[in-house]
Amino acid sequence: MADNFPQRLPGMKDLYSFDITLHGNILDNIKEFLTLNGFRRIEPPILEKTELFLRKFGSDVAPELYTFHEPGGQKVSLRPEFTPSVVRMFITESPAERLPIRVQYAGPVFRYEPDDSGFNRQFTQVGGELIGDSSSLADVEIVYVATRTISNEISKTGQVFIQLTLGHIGVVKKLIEQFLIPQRGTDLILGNLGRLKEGTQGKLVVMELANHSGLLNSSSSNNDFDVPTSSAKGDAEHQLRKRLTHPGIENRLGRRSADEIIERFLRKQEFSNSNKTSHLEEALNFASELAQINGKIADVICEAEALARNYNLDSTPLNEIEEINRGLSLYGLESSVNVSFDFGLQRGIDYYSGIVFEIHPNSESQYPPLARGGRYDGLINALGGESQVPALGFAINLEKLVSFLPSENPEIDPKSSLGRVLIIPEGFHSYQQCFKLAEEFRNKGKITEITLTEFSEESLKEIAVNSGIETIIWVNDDGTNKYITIG
Amino acid sequence: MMEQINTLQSGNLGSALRLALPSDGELHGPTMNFMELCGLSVQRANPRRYTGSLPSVPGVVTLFQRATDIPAKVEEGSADIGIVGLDRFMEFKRDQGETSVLMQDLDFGKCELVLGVPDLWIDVTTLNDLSDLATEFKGLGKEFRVATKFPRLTEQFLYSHNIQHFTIVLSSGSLEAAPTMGYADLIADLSASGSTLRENGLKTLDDGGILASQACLIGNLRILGSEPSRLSPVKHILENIEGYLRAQEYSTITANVPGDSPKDVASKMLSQPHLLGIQGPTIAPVFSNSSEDWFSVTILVKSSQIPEVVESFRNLNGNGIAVSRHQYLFQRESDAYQSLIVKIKDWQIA
Repeated sequence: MADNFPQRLPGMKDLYSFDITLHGNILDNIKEFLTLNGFRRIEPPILEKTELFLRKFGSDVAPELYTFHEPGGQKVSLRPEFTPSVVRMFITESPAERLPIRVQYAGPVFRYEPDDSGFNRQFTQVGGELIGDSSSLADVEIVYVATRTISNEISKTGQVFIQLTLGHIGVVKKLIEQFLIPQRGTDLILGNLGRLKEGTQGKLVVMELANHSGLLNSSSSNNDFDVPTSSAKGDAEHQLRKRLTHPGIENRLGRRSADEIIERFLRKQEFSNSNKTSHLEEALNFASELAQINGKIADVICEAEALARNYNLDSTPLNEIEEINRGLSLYGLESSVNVSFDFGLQRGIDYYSGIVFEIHPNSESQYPPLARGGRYDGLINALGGESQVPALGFAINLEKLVSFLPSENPEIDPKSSLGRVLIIPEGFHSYQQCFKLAEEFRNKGKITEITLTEFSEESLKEIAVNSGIETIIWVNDDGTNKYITIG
Repeated sequence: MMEQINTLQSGNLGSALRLALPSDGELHGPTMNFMELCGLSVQRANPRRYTGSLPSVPGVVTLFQRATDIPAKVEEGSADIGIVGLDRFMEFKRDQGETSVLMQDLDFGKCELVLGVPDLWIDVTTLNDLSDLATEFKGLGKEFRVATKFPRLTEQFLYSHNIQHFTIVLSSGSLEAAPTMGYADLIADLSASGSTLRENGLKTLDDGGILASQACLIGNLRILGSEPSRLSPVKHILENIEGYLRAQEYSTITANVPGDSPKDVASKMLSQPHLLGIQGPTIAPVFSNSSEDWFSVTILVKSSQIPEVVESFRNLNGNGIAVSRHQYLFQRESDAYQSLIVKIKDWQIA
């Protein structure tokens, strides 16, 4: 092969008949199971406007996107997952549809993993989304469907147990918010639960990030307009209102109201005057301790309650986890699945707003999970939907799932198991008869090939045994045929 | 007319170097002026002609193009080199393209791409405030709209400062009115002094500068690498520009200094930090009727240091301190040309 021969790209795979049949069979099982659970099939295009993905993930994922300019100049990307496309379809096609709706999808997704060793840059995702239901029963339904989809396949291997790890961004958020820190601080903490989970070292890193984004130093509170700190809050507000509301000035406020500006100004002033930066440190300490709690659901709720008490927090948000626990027991998942709860579980994507979960084979949580999912109530709105519509979903990495299944021959296509037919013309004159013969076989559902070959009968028999050929027919130019059946 | 351009594009003029210059906008006049100062005056039959020549550099055709089009013309190879604002180049260049900046700071056409918000947003003074505000808008389900003619630079800048929830509104008219008219919350626009912003009730942020821009010279590395005959006029142009720009930076100072011998004067000079010059003084005896021995001393210094240098000469009882500027100042070799050769090689390897 010449040196400059265009090789297959790193992280991409060529699939052959065997893999395609294997994947296809599993995919068919999954689609069937999801369909039985009410998930209707949809198929968005592989290519979308880059902005759709950036709006969902922020710029952090930009290096992972396969992005390029269309010939028309528009910036587009190959999808790194389905959810943004599903949400786009929902916003543009079916907002008036009766809610909730359940949809399923399957197809290739593309992520440019910087390290090409062992990662697939193209892989198959299959998953489902449930849009328009905010109840904890919907949470449990998605967890159940995702887990069962996987256990249906895995249980065939005799590995009965799979590991389901739950987390809850919404609950963690409601606890953190009690520290009265700016929203950006809460977002920073939620986005870094994985780091905080590592203990002191991780906490220092997050502190540094907070410092970098001006959450810890008070210099960010410089204002053009100084309200004397001695004046009472009411006075200050009066002064500001006078300045921002005199007639003719409305236009100069842009698209914000005087109230919004004054409210935020005072909040900022208050934050810098009081020693609120220590609240952020306290919130970080709490979040770090919380993120390290994991184990059986009943146990972690008790631990988290105790921790909340130590920090004088209202622990009511933890009831949501209790509710999910009750829901799960209704479905009886525990009998076939190891369930644990991890307060530090986060997916690094700030649109998750409630339950999050990962599914691993057995307890091998050091490997990337087979499936992930969670609730993203704010996403539809953030991507441009008119109203807040609750939604949640999950996605399975098909190649990873397949890699945990036994590699025995897949159930091959029933047609091909009937045995192939090979027709060999002697020369040009017998071609027409070969075509006719082949058509007859094909009409009977037999896979039939016509091949001109010089191989001897002996070597042909050998080839036939190896490639599933059942019948070989020689057609002579004088119209006579010779059949042999391989058996 | 078009025919003429087409012949140029198809290379029928053989090895002529094609230099794109802005035909419109704020850069047109200053560019023509700059070329003249660099000894590269542009000649064209009449002002409506799209082509011209540089009488001082044979083998160059100048193509007058709209300022916005120049990055694309150079990238697609219908011009070899061009003068353009760094802002437009950064906005319109192709990632991993063939074009590179050959000389960064031509010292004219200076302006800054900045963020402007309503000045009555008294709660917003930094990017951190903007980041907070974007988060709050997101929470309220409101779009955070940024009007600009530079979507790419603006987007990159906001993303790199952790502001993710925003919508770019492409706008070509007078952007400053966008917040007042209610179709954007803030703008990203060019500003030379900030006065247009202020007049329209907008203010900049303490750290809201996206890009400080001035005119620069860009070139297509693929073509320059594959057409060696075009490198010679490029070298000429780079040398002249570099020589002119360096001449603006330095001055020659000559003074008469009393002393016993050239060595004595030299050691006195070396004791004064400002009198070392770029490479050291030239010292020659002055033949005069005076009883004292005088020496004429010449040094090349940064123009910005002239007051200190003059003071130092006075410390040595120096007299007749003459400062002169130069038209060009050349060094042993042209930095810009050497770095172009390196860039071409790197490009060819990649």
